[in-house]
Amino acid sequence: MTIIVQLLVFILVIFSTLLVVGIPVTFASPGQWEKSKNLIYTGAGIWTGLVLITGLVNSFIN
Amino acid sequence: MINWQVIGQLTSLAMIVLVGPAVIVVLSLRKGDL
Repeated sequence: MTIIVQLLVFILVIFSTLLVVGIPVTFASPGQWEKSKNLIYTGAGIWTGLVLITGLVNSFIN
Repeated sequence: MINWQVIGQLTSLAMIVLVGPAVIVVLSLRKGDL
């Protein structure tokens, strides 16, 4: 179970880094928001789900 | 023996510190609204 949590945290760190770079770039690129809106909302949704799933799985390890 | 904890901490710090300027660099390369 520990390896699953470690894997989820690793994915979360990588994904968070991608969002931290990608979202400001999208905001500050003219016309890009209209194009990438759905991608960013999906990314934010996946990130939130990842946080919740990681917390849930973490509660099952000793 | 290698101190993996310090390596992890320094890697995390490096990522956090470098990600800010990276946004500026990417925006300037893409000719964004700086």
